[in-house]
Amino acid sequence: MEEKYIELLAKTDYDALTVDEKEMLKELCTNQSEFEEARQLMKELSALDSEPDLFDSRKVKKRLDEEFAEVYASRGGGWINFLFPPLKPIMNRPGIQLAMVLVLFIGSYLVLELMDFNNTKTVQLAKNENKLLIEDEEEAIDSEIDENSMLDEKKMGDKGRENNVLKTELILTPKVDIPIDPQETIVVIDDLISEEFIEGGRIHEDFIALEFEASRSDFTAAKDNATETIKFLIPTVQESPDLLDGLFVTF
Amino acid sequence: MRIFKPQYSKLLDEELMVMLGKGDKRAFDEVYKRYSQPLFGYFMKLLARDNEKCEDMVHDLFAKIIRKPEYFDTSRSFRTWVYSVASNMCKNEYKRMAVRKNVKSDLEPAEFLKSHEDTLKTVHEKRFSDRLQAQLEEMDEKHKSVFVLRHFDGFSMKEIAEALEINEGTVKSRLFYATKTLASALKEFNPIYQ
Repeated sequence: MEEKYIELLAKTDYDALTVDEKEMLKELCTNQSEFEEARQLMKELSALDSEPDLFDSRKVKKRLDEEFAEVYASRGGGWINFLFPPLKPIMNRPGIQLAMVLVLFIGSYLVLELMDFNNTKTVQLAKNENKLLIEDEEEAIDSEIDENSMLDEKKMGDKGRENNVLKTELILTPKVDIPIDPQETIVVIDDLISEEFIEGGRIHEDFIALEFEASRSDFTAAKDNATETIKFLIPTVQESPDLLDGLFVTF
Repeated sequence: MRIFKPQYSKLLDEELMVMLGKGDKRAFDEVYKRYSQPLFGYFMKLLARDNEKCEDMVHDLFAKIIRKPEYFDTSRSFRTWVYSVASNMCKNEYKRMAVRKNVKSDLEPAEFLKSHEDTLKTVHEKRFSDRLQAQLEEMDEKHKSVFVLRHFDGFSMKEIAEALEINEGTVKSRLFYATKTLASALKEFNPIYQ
């Protein structure tokens, strides 16, 4: 819009200007004579436009070429300029971007490597710990089994068949109708169990189950031969205290 | 990497500057070809037509471009940027020289007549040019630079505003003031007054 004043000065007579155009030019000219002066100046200036100043371009250029060669020779080869072009902002220079990618890659690799190393170490430690626990457990079980079997063998050897019969008899006593004090019989059973505890320590569950099964079958057999058993059980503890000899029963 | 060399004459100033920053000599040659003469003219008008001084100014400006191409912000127009640099150089020169008056390196009258004896028109133009230059020298720098950029270098108001880092309203105001002053001072060339 502001450029229009030249056009107005070149082509229009002041009186032919509209109110708006006069308003636009009021800073430049407020009357006919000022308008003419400005108009004449524009004419002269447009005639001067084509006039070149005398400039010995080659002389200056030669000096500049030398300077250019000096500056860019010291800056290094094309690759350096390609990687670090001076006109680009630092973060947009290919060399810097490449370096950042490399740092990121190496950093990620190291982090992953470290994480993997920690994982392997933890897993290995856990495995070792597990292995040790399993070994300990196995050892404990083995020793328990050994002890129990040894105790069992010993007990079996010591008491023999008689004891087994007696045990069965004593366990079965409350079930069958025998003329003895039931409390006394229970004590005997308890004592038998305590005896086993004293002698063999902790009894393995399987072992107890097996023994219980054996006792149960004995009980069934005893029930079937009730009459026979009653006959067999006639001599009670009270009547014959010598039956308890060798049973380590305490009252 | 380009396989074929670009046609430098068809490239934009800004593209040439990017290539120049990478050390492309032909890009520099093209920039020099485009701007050395107009910049010399600009300096001549602002620096009292001291030919030698203006050559040095042109040299210094291009040397700056060679040494510090990164000073140019590629998001800006190169033309306005290079003229803003030239304008600042002139300001510095004014400060250094304090007052520069009548240091004209006018051609000798004999030489002038020898080269321009052909037509009266040429004589008239020469007279006008000298008077205009004299008037410009008397004018203060801020009005003079706006006037020169507008009427000799063909800058638009917007480009002048950008180059001189002032607003467009100020450009218009300064331009009208300079035009009015010069028109008044050079009215002797108006046929009405002759």
